[in-house]
Amino acid sequence: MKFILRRLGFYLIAFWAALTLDFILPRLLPGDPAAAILGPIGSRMTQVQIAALRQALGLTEAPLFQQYLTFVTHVFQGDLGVSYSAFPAPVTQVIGTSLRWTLLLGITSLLISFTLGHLIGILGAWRRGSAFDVVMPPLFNFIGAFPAFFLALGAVYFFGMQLKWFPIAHAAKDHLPPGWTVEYIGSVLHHLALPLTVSVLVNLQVWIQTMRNNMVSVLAEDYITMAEAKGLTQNRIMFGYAARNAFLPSITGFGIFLGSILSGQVLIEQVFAYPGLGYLLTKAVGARDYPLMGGLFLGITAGVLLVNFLVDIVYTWVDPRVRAE
Amino acid sequence: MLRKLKFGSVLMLVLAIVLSGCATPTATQAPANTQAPAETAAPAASDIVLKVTAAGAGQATWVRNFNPFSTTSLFPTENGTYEPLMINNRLAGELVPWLATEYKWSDDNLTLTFTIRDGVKWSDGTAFTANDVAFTFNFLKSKPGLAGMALVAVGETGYIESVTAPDASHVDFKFKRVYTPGFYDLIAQMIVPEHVWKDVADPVTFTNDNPVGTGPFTEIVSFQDQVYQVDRNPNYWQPGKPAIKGMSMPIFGTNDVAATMFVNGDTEWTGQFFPNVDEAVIAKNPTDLHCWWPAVTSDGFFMMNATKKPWDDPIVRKAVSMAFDREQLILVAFQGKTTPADITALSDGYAAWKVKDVASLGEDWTAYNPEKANQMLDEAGYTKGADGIRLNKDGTPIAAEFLMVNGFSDWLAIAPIVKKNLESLGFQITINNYDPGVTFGKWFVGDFDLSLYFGVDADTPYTYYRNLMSSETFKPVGEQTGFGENIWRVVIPEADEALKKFASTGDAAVQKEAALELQQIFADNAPVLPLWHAPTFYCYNDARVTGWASEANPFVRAMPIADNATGEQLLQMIAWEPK
Amino acid sequence: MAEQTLSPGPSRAGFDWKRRFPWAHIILRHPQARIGLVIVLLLAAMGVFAPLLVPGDPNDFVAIPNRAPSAEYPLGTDPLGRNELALVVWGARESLAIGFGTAAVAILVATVVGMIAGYFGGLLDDVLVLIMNLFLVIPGLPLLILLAAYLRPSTATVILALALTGWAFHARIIRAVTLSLREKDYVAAAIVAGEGNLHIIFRQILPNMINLIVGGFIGTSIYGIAASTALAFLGLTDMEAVSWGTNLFYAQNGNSLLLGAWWVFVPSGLLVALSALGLAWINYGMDEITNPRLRAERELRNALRGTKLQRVRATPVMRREH
Repeated sequence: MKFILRRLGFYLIAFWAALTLDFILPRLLPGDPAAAILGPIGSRMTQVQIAALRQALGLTEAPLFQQYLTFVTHVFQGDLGVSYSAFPAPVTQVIGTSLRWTLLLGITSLLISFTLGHLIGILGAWRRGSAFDVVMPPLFNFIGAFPAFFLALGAVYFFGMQLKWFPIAHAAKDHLPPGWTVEYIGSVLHHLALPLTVSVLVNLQVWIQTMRNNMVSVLAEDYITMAEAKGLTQNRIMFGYAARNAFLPSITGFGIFLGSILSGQVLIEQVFAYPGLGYLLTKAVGARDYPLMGGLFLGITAGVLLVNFLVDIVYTWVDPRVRAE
Repeated sequence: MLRKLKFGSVLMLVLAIVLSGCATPTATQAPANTQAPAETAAPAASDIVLKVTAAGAGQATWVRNFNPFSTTSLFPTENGTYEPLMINNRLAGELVPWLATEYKWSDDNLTLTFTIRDGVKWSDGTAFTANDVAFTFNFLKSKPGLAGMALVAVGETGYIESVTAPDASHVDFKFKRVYTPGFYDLIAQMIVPEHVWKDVADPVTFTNDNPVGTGPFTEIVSFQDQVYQVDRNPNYWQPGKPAIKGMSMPIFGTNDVAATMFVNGDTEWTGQFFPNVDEAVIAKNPTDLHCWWPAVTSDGFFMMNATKKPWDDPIVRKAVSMAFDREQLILVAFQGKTTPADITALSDGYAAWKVKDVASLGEDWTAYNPEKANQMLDEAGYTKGADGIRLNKDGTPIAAEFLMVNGFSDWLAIAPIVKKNLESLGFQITINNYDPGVTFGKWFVGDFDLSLYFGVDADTPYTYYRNLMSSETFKPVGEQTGFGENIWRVVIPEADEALKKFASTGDAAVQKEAALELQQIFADNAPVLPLWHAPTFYCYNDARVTGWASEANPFVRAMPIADNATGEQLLQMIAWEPK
Repeated sequence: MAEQTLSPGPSRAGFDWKRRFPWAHIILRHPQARIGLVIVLLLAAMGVFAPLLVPGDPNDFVAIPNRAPSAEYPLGTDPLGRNELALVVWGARESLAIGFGTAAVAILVATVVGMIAGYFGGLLDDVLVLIMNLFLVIPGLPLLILLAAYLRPSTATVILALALTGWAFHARIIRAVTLSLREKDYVAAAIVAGEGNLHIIFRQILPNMINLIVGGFIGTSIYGIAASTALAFLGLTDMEAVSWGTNLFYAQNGNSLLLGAWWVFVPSGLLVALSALGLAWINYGMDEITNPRLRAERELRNALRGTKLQRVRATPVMRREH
């Protein structure tokens, strides 16, 4: 419990740091921060719109500390300001529409790559030097070396443009009313296939490598030799003894790798025009929509912190040492 | 075993929570409007829903906004759902009466009276009257923060004294001073229904989710993150029009995606620019896919900030112009799909105003001639230093930043050539790319040396040249100029004279005379360098629908634009016929 | 775990490079690492000698855009009419420079911060660890995109932004190792002997972490190359600087995919992957240093090669094949 509370404290500090960064960055620019933020779009907005935006962003004449307080209060009230590119829609509304697609792609990709990667890692370490071990881990390593967006472009080209097996953009067929119908879900899956495959391919190697290395270490432990000596079945040793222990570092790794997985996803979403947060982020940058950019950064950070916290909770469950502490 | 189960169940629980959050479809705000008047009132001519990707609509997800007073409203709010009084058809060179059937200037050119069309209904069935028109202009005037084509006319510094409706079919515009070109600002304003808008408390942030308009497409039948559909107006005033059921707007991402969607028939009308359009797009399906890029509005410009030396010197500007190989630039940027500009900066869209023989203006600075350019600079006192770098008159080397824009594929493609061309004169050039927003910001406050500019959308040579070289549009560095207004900051006093002559008369002959003077002044001073006749990017798929404007049938330039300044797309919308 | 293979304290006698730099020795003997080294050296040479290999400004317009490969232009031209071969060769310069530059800055920071935290401990350690953990947990690319959007893009700012988002991981490892080295007898002896902190850090601890630092440098280089390519692809770096990432950006910008102009995007993408792979392979050699079991494993496999012996069990039990 103490461990959990300590972690919670840390994540709160981390969120505060991200929040502060989001506040400071625009104000670090030379000159009037409002001009820097609003300048690009200012010429296309009326004075009233600009004044409203200033107010929403806390870019007032008030002292910096007061601006900061306003900013933080607004964030905790769920008010991230107003998006320029979708004026007058609030940032939260714009983010809200994209969130579910990012979660869909991210979670399915994570589940598949996590499971598949660990299986390959376990089998590879188990049958070290076998054809499987010689081919599979290096193969996915090779694939994982490519930039995520490059694989995505390749997939768009071959399976989308040439073979036309899969759609090259969007998350579902246009005009299908969203709902729990076979047609709609089928269409969502059809659109998900390519980005998901690319995302899994890119992420797989991390898990394979982590698991394989951990397995190699664990397999040399005395208790494995002991289990062998006791005459336990190979399957029992592999999954019940070795894999289970080798699995622990993967859980902590989960939190660390989440960031890089997310990074890959930003680019994959961009190439497939998959309407998730990553795609939204690149669009916001293109439009220099600072409130939206800042809001996305905060939102994504909050999500990552939340997942990390959940991982910590899971970790206390599986690792008795932490619980005993 | 027990522990394993527990671990598994926690994981499942966590995922279940996250998944349930993401799987709930929340994009179903749409049905609210589906049971609206719909098909019954109008004859169901066709069930074709045309797929459109409008230019200037590159968002990640659609955010509902059909407010015609907003700069971020979605296609086809302006000139689709709402309509203007009249349409200036640039290509045909004619004025098309729309919500107004006629106009009349008073003898002193201080009152402009429009006759409002009879029998027009709003999409909710209410009759459209002159009161709606007067309301719209007064609303725009009284509510700060609204955007609109007529804002320049009715705003604080505007030239309109009052707008009134003496009866149900006439609207009078009283001018503060004689300013005949103002006509074009007024006719392009979107007209809104008084009975709806008089109750809108904050029109600046109002998103007008279910618009009531007079236009051909008014019914928002579905609205999702990635696509929305706008169906025909059941009460449209042109019987039988539009001949299709509606338009749906799928979202698109990168240029690649937009082009592929067009190739696959997932969009049928698009205002996107496709690089290498012939090989990359048309060749994939030459029977159905067509592109036509008429260049009838502005020229595309190379601009130099005249508040900085040596760009204030017309000789330098002309020399720079002669260093550009315009044919090559056009080949790379547009694959040769437009033509080089000349020293009047006027495209064919201004044919009626243009001098018969351009050579008679006595200049040739749009012809590629680097030798002569170098010679001109030498003679004007800009000598080259020992290292081959050309020097300012005060002996400092001429070095400049060439400002480029991320995402503008046609420009990015020619940036290296422009740099080479400039270096051939001995200038030191650095290219810096910024995103559109940043670039616009730098342009408008004059924080740049050299850059490109798309062009100036102007109805008459008056507005065009006023934006190119008048003191009226000039703003000192640090103050924001308007969109497309004298960003290069060149003021030519003679131009002011000629512009005044143009604006203060209703006599077409005098205006033509002033237009010719303006062309001479432009050619003499080269305030900004026309490079090419800027094409209007427009492609269509005629597999399901015919009646498209094309090279063979050039009745209008039919580019779909989200944030639209011209009503020309309306002419295309009513011309479609199902195949 | 890492310190197990470290040399047992400083030896003043003669310069034994195998002993002093065991990583170099192992890498040269490790087959995959050797290939990796060759790849990376070749790519680096390509970048360094780019002006000799393909003279002239790679940004020059040379021929009609999107021309297929020919004898004159072996990789054709890009959508801007530039010589693709020149772009690919010169791209190695910028891409690798950013990769190695990022690694240098990030690892310098990581080493300094990690050692200070691990050596001095106490409140300072707590604060530094907190900062490391913050940077680890805040998602990198979104932060990077945010930074790139605010900073004026140039090679230097890109390196700084990448280093800022990439230093924490190795700082944490270096701190952990410093912590355990500090407990070693010879370090304790030096402290008792009254040696200065700087002396201990630089003479006793740092030399024993060369492996880690080199490994971290290589790992961060991969990150730098990959992330800068991604940023360039999004148009967030200096677009005039020819890099593999900007090449891909212009390929996308010019509809190369639709044109089927593979020569515009395949070479740059392949080279990014190849450099990442080469560096990763070198790091496999490094891994064997920090995780000796991996090395024992490989050596065992090599010993078994060609024999009839085959491993069938989890533990190294051998059995003659029937």
